[in-house]
Amino acid sequence: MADSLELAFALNNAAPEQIWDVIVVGGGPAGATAALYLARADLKTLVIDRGLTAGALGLTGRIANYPGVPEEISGAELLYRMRQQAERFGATFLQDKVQSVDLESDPKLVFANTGTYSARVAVIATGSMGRSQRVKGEDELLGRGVSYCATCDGAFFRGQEVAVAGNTDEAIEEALFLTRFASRVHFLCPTPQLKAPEHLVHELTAQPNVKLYLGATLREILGTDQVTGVRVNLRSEGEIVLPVSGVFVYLQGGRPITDFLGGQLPLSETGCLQVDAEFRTALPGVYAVGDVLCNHIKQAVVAAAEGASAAMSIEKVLRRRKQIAVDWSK
Amino acid sequence: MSNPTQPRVVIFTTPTCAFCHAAKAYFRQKGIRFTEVDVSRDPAAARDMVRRSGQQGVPVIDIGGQIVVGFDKARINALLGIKS
Ligand SMILES: Cc1cc2nc3c(=O)[nH]c(=O)nc-3n(C[C@H](O)[C@H](O)[C@H](O)COP(=O)(O)OP(=O)(O)OC[C@H]3O[C@@H](n4cnc5c(N)ncnc54)[C@H](O)[C@@H]3O)c2cc1C
Repeated sequence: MADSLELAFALNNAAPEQIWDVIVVGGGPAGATAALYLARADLKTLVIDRGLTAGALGLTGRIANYPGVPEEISGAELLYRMRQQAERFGATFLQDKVQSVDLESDPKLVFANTGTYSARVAVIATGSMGRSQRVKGEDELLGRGVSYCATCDGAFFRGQEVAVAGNTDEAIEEALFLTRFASRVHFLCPTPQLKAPEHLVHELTAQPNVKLYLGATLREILGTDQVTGVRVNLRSEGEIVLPVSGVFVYLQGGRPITDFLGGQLPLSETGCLQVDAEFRTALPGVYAVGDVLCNHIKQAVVAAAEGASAAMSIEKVLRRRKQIAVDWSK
Repeated sequence: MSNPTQPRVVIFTTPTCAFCHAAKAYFRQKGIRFTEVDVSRDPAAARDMVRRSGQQGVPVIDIGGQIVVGFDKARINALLGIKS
C-alpha cells in the first residue's frame, strides 16, 4: 500500500467546542461521499472515522468494479482518494472512535475518545464490519484487563505484558500507544498479513517491545477476577498461552456497527438500521447510509451513491428548501 | 442548581476516553460538583483506583464511597437522587 496514505488525517483541527452542521460517523465510501457533497454545499462537515483500513472498503485488497477507476487499485487507496476529494471541498476528518451519541439533544452530541462533538445533523455510516462473537472470557473480564481502547486504559498496564488482537491501522496505532506503557506487546494478527499502510507496519515491527504473531486467532481470555493470560491458536505452531494482564481487542466481523447508538435508534432483528427514501432514520436530523442499512447491496458504488443522496436531502432540510438542489458543476 | 448536601463525587479519567467526556458533560448539565483525577498522569492514583474498584478501565466514579463502573447513568441517578 502506498506510503502516501500516511497523509490522511494528519491534521486534527476539529475543535470540540464548535457546532458542526453535520457530523458523519464513519468515513467509508458512504460517509466520505456524504462529506464530499455536504462540504461542496458549504455545510461545515466533520467526519469521525476510526481508521482507513478499519472498514470494508479500506481492507479490500483490490477493487476492480468502481466506475471510472479502471486501474488496479487497493480499497484503501480508493478510499483515501475519496477522503482527499472531500477534504479539498472543506470537509474535516478526525481519526477517532465514536463510542456513544446523544441523538435527541439539540445540538446532537457525539462522544469520541478525543472529545465531545456537536452538530445539527448526524449521519451514521459505520458499515457492517462489527464483531458478531466474543471470545470466551471476554465479557466476564471486560474492565478487568479486557479493553477496546488503549488510549483510554493503557496507563493501567505500566510495566506489564499485554496482547492486542487485530490487523487494521487502528489496531496498530493502539499497539504503538501501548508500547509506551507495557513491558511487552504481543500483537495477534488473525490474518497471514497485516492490513495497514506500510509505514505503520514498519513502525510496529521496529518496536523492540512488540512481538508480532501472524495467523494468530485469539481463542480465550484467561483469568477469574483479572486477566492472567490469553489462549491463542497459531496457524504455524498450534495453541499457545501468553501470560498477559491486558488484552486490547480490535477484531472484526460481519454485523452492522450500531453499538455506540445505545438503543437510541430502532434496529431490525439482524441489527441493521432502517431508513426512508431520503435516508432518514426514525429520529429527526439523523440519517444513515451504506452497509449499516438493512438489505444493503454491499458494493462501494452503492454506498457512495447513498452518501450523495443523503447529503442532498440534508442540504434541503438545513437550507429549508422545498426540493433537493442537485449538485451540478458550478 | 447545585445541591449543598450532594455527596462527594470523584471521577477517575484519562484525557482520551469518550465515556469520561460523556459522564463529565452529564454532571455539568445536572449541576453536580465533581473532582477529576487523571490516572494517566498519576500512576499512584491509577493503582488506588484499581485497588478500590477492581477495574483497569476508565471512567470509574466514586459517589460518596460507592463505586460506579463506567458511565452508568441509572446508577449515577440513583446515588445522586437525579430524576431522569
Ligand atoms: C473483503 C471484501 C471485499 C469487497 N469487495 C468489493 C468490491 O470488489 N467491489 C465493491 O464495490 N464492493 C466490495 N465490497 C463491499 C464494499 O466494501 C462495501 O459495500 C462498502 O465499503 C460499504 O461502505 P460503507 O461506507 O457503508 O462501510 P465501510 O466501508 O465498512 O466503512 C465504514 C467506516 O466506518 C468506520 N467506523 C466504524 N465504526 C466506527 C466508530 N464507532 N467510530 C468511528 N468510525 C467508525 C470504519 O473505520 C470505516 O472506515 C467488499 C467488501 C469486503 C468485506
